[in-house]
Amino acid sequence: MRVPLSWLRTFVDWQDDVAELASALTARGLSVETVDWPGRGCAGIVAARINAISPHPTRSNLSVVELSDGHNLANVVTSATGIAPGDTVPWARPGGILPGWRTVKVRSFDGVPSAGLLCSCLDLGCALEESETLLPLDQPVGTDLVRALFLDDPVLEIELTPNYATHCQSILGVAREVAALTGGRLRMPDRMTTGECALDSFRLNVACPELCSRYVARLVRWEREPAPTPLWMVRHLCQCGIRSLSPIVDITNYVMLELGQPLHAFDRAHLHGDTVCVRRALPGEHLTTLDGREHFLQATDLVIADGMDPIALAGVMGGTGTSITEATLDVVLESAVFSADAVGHTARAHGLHSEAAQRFSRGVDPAGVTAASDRAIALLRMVGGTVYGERTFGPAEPPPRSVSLRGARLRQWMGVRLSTSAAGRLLSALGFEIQADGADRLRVNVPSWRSDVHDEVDLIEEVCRMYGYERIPATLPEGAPTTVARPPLERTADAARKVALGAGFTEVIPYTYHSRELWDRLRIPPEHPWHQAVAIANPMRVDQEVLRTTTAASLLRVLETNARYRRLDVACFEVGPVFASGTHGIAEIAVLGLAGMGCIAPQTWQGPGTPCDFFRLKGTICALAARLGIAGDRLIWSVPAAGELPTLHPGRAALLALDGVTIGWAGQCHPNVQEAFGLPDPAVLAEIQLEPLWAVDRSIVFQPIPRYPAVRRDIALLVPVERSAAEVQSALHQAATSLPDLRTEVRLFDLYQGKGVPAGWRSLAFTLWFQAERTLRDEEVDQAMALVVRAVTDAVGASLRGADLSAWQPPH
Amino acid sequence: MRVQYLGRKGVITSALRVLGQLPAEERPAQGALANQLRTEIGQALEEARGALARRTLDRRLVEETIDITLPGYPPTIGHPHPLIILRNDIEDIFAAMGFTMSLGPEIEDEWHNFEALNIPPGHPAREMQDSFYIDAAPTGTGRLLLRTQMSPVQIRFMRAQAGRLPVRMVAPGRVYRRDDDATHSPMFHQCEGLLVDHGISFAHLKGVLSALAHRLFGPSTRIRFRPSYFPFTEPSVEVDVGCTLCNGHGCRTCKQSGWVEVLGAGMVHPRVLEAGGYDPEEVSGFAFGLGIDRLAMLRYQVDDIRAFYEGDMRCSEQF
Repeated sequence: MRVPLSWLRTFVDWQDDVAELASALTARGLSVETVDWPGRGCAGIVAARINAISPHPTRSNLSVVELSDGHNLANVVTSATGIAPGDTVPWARPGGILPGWRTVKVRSFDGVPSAGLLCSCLDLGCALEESETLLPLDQPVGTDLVRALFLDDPVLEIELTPNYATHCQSILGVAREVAALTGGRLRMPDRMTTGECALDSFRLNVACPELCSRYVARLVRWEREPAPTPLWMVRHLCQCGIRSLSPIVDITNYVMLELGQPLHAFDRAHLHGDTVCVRRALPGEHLTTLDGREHFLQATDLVIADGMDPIALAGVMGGTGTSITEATLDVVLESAVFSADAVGHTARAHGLHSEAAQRFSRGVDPAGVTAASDRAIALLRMVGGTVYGERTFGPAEPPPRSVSLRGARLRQWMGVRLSTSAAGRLLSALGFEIQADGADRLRVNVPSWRSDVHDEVDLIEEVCRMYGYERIPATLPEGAPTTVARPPLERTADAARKVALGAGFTEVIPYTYHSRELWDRLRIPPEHPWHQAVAIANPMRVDQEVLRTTTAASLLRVLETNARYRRLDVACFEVGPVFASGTHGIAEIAVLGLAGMGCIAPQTWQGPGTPCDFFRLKGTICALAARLGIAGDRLIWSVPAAGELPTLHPGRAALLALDGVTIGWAGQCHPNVQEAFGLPDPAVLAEIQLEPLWAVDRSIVFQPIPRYPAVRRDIALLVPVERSAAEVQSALHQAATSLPDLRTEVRLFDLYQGKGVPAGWRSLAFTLWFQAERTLRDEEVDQAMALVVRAVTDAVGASLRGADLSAWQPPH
Repeated sequence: MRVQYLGRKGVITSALRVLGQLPAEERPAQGALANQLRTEIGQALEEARGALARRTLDRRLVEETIDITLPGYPPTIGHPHPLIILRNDIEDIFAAMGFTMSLGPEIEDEWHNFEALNIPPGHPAREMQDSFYIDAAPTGTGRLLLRTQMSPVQIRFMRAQAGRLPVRMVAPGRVYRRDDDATHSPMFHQCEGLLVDHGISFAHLKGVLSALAHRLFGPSTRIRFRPSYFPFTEPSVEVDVGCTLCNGHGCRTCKQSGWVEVLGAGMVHPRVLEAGGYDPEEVSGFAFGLGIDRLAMLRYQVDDIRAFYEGDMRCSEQF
């Protein structure tokens, strides 16, 4: 809301400069966003009389005007038209300053010097856009127009929170706050009551009092065309961003801005049946509003109607049929209270967010209806109007309301030792009436304009606000800290983040929604569980249609983004939810998603990069499980059934189970998916649920550290390719653990296929560590190795490639 | 050389061997002379050998010189997300003040997201244009929607506490609103906090939030508390800190005001305490909410919020 300070000053005085006033209002909840001060420093603009006008000797569109300001004569070149000798015009003298810090100089137009210039309406802040017409001034010659039209006036731009919008959306409302702040007295503007009125045929009929609690209609007429709107009023309207239209409309707007009560004027000559009726719209009725739009009305719309048709959407906008024109000489002036909900509903339903609707939908002061009408009549009289009739409905004052305020409660909420009398003083400055109500308790009468105050806590807020938030001390609370533990799921998420970061993956937070079209790119058929998604009912864009069922949908788009920038080495992860929709309703499942392409560690001068492949993801997931104390043999990786993971390469995909329950998957993306996302290299993806990781029984039992060194043996086995590495490893492990009083550990360190290995076979090389609670002799270990080798050759059809230590290379 | 002079058939050894053949009176002098000679030669040889070894080592050390200006091997460590860095900082600050962390679902119902927070049906904040609704049948607690704020976690936490005191929690998480421009993302992050106990006052709100601002923005940061409005708190407050970019002189970030809005807070509205199962006549509390994205944009001078969500490695690797 815009508040010109010159207007505010007609209601209340204050000492502070603009910046201090702005920060004081901000500190009391009226947040001053900016101080708009285009005319700062404005000077040297006066009213001058035109003595003579002569054409410019060479330029036909210009004329030379001889001016007098009562003391000096001057010649000014101007392009203005429609001026005549004897007119009073605004003259900016050389050395003067126009709004926007424009210095006025003597300037020559084709050899004719111009001593300053004639000001346009825009120069004087009396128009919203550039226009060539000059203002017809009614000020005496020599008047300082900077003062008369308050050209150097700052305007406060205030952002109102919804609770203050009820009572502060007017100059009066802000003035009340300023008065409360400074202790200044509030001056009310000139008003005029109707006095005795002759009876008249005009009728007022409020058919739905539940939606219109008060209606004041006044009849005003003119003998001849109304006088023009006074310039100061044009200027104030302009400062608030409202265009001057006609004297009658300007006055209704002016009173709305000033007092917060929207008014409407109907041309009585166009009322059918000489009647104004407040009722609900009837089916089939329609109305063309002042903005030229036609509206088909519903029974939920509250309308003003004449004897036949709707003539206005009550509290929102008037219709064209009864609008004020240049010919209007007889007016019905409406000042009323309409239901905030009804006005809000109609404004939204018809997309008409007028200034009036904004104020009604937040609630107007029911006791201010008559006052606003009185104020308008005083102003209408200035432009030649005469009041000749009145019809009213409803009580002039709403029933009084009071709220109790307990001192102990106030002090406890504020944390300040404030007496009820001190609190009462703060409240009465805002217009609340205070009565003592027993010891340490107040009975507070709420003024009619404070429809936002209902409860004790609303009063506490007012006291805090007026006391000043800055004066309330800052203290840390005492008392025991909470004993509730950090949620286990969050602890698991922390572990997942640490492991993934440590493994070289970068955290991303992609959007959790996507378009339905993405399912095609992911190769997910309609019957697949990943297709059973939660849908968003009102997406803004197509990529917000559904909530993801897998992080693959999000992470592939991250890879796609990076590939577009030719960033082809990416390893990333996210911790977030996936959403499932099934017969049990909607589920949110927290997961760790991993994705990568290219290298996870770059090539350096020392050697090649480390690829981010399936085994990198698998290793990272195993490391996370180990980190959470889950023994490796409880995780089982298995080959998925056909179609189970359609996004992935069928030969490079795995399901992960913990204690027999599937909790995740990993794999390389299907070549079609790779292509659909524009990835030059194959990408790998994995996802693991976090909740099962903390839900499992966790057991780390410390093993005593052996006192004797372990003995190491390496073997290379030729194994048929159809035997999986896991089978061979588990056969070795089984054989080794069956040895009495020996502890053994088996680790794969090399895999080889190619020259020297027959087709259909591959070479798997393992390290075995033997450990006992005594010094192991070589013969013992050799004997054990022989047993192990025999067992494993029997179990998986492997053959010893030789205890070939020369083939051994240190693992990377 | 050692063999030539000191070996079994060496000159000195031979000389000592023939010592016995010398006259007895010459033997001690000659013997001493030979022994001295043997010792001196031995020492000279030792020295020569030591010098030789040193030279060899010196040569080797020179040969083994590396170019220490070559880059070190980068460890394979990923980059944390800026929003998570900030979230962890906030969590740490509140953990030190005895607040526990709480979570809630991202798909909420209208009761938790609005009604329990004193936002009744018809309230402007509930309009369709602000919230993403779920395409599903309404539940007994209203339609489902993606939560628009972290405040429903207040209600869930209070109800789970079942009247136990104190209630001290922070709830960081994702929220969703139908808004999309350089400073608004449809998905973003907030951190909500709540303290309910006997005798909690506005002064405590100021104490805790001042501590937060000083820890987050530095001990000399200026802080301003100004009245505001939220349906679920009263009195409500907006907390501004002195703009760190221009030191309060006014710049684009602070819209020339010298202040930057960092969080909203207030005393928990009695109706919200009731919805959480607490008696507002017995206890009081304060709640606050801050936009993690907004703070991260300020801290790292990020001017487009979408940078946090695109997963562009050129952005991620700066953190």
